Amino acid sequence: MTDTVLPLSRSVTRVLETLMGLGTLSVGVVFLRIVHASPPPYGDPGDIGSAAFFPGLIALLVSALGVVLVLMAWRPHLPRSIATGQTSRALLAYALMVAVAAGLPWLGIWLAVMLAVPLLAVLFGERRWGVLLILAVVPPVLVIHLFEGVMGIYFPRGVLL
Amino acid sequence: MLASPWTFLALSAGLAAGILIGALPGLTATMAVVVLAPFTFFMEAAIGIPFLLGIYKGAIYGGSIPAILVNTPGTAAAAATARDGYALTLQGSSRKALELSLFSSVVADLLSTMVLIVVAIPLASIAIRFGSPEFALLYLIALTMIATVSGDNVAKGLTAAGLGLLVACIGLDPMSGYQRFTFGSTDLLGGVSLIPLLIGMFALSEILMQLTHPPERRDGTGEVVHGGERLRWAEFWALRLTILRSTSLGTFIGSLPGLGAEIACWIAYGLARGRSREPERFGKGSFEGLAAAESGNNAVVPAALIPMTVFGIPGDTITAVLIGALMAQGMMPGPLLIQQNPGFLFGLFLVLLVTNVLLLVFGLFAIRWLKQVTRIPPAVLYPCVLLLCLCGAYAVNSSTFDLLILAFGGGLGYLMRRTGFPIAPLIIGLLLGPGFESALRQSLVFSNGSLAIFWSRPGSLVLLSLLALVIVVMAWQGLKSKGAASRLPRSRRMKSHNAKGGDS
Repeated sequence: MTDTVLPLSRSVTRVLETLMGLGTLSVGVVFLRIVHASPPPYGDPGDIGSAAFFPGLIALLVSALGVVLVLMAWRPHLPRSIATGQTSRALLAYALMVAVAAGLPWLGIWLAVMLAVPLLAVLFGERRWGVLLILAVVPPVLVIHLFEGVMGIYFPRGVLL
Repeated sequence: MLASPWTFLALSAGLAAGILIGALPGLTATMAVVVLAPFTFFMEAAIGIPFLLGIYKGAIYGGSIPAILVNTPGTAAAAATARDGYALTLQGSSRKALELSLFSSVVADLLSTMVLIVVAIPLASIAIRFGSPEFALLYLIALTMIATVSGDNVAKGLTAAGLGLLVACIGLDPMSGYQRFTFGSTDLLGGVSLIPLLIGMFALSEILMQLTHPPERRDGTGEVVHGGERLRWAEFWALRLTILRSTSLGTFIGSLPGLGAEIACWIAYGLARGRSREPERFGKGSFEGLAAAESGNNAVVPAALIPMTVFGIPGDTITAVLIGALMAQGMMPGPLLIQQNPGFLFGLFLVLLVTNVLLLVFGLFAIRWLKQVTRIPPAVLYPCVLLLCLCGAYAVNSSTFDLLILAFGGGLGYLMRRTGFPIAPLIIGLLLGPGFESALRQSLVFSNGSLAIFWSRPGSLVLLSLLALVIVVMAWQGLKSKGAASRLPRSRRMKSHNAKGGDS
């Protein structure tokens, strides 16, 4: 499992930094648009007493910082600060996490975690069936019983059980 | 507090769990505290908070065990420990290195706890007189410091803090009770759930980072023979000045918002090397280097509780989680905690002292038995962490919506870490947001919108000067470090990609 960490090329770093700046800018602009909508949903953003004052101020700050980030991404000597890595495996794992988080109410805790735990182990390179089977059964049984039996937290059972 | 056997048991369990998790390479102290925090919501505060403190202290110490034995720091705070600790192991003195690491940690922790006890009450008696303008400036100082020191890029740190403040606006307005940015969802009425977001940003993102950058396997670790002679008293006594110097430095760094153990260990190590009569031995098995790194990072733990207990401001990401846990128990850290719950606070101080004795006992046990733990493969470890994350996030409010916040936090945390955005300012911005908003708006309402309220009062004038000083110092340090960083070899600059974001 050796891994040599190398920085991304300057052009790719520039594109990613620009995208992050634009993302920040768009978050700020979305909040600004909500606050300054007509009629203003939370009161006049210029009024100190209104609920819109602080979010308006911070959204303006975030938008300005987004612009700064975009400008900084285009400076001539941009440091190559983003490292390469096995992003595809991480994205697969993230898709698994989102699927489990979103699907847990329907799948139920048992099915969701008994699938998620060995699948994540596979992404980490585990290929032995015995280990995967143990991972699918032992940690979920221990942890779920700890939460349900000791702490009194009951998890969704899903539509199957 | 300690009269209850349950508190003592919780403290011991927390310490043992902390050492165990800290000793597992890849699991950070922040991750340990955040993943186990949901367990405390079902305990009394007098049991739950000592449990978390035990995890915090145990994990910071535990990180040194794999650093010394297999040259893989268990936590980012133990990175400096690995340099001389592993060199000593290669020389057949692993037992000596482990004992020196433990004794230095315990001494530093004890001295730093004494400072906390001596300083907290007088500072709180000053803080209790603070009004809204002073608190607004105090929050601004904390956010500025955290945003500027947490990462390599000040703009990214400030952006993260701004995003945290923006997320804090979701939910009910703290002054008028008006619904903001809830989009009709009742799940967002109370704001974004802090603990599921923290678990996502620290624990899930760590799993994703480990997949992106699998840890390197060190050469020759299988051939090392562990054991050797025990540490002699004379050897330890000879290091007293190094330990004292590093403890003072660690305590100072820990008491400042935003600077954590992972920074203290390197500064203490560098200072010890500068003052040493044998600087050439550093990195090759120097006792001074090992003692400095370990006392520097462990002194941070009690010191980080100073801003938390006195002002309600988290010193680092772990104290941010502790504040979240205290809030879940219905307590608000800050000067009012000392006024309203003095018994709890003094009990907490006592717990910190007792933890040192327990750390010594558990540490000696861990030195002997924890070698095997470092060999747990990531393919077994991280799926179990995912399981704990899912169950812990759901347990906070028994809400499936919190699982979505967990997943969102994981994605955001990963994106931020990959692109060099520090996580700590976002979390601390989110935590300080409601207090900062209330203090700022109250100040401006009192002064009819005049900003003069921030310099017309003696307390606020002092804090405003402090804010200006912080900005000037941070700008100067930034310019200096930029020059220094450009002189560093590229491999060194890219080394800590997995522990970015002020995560201990």
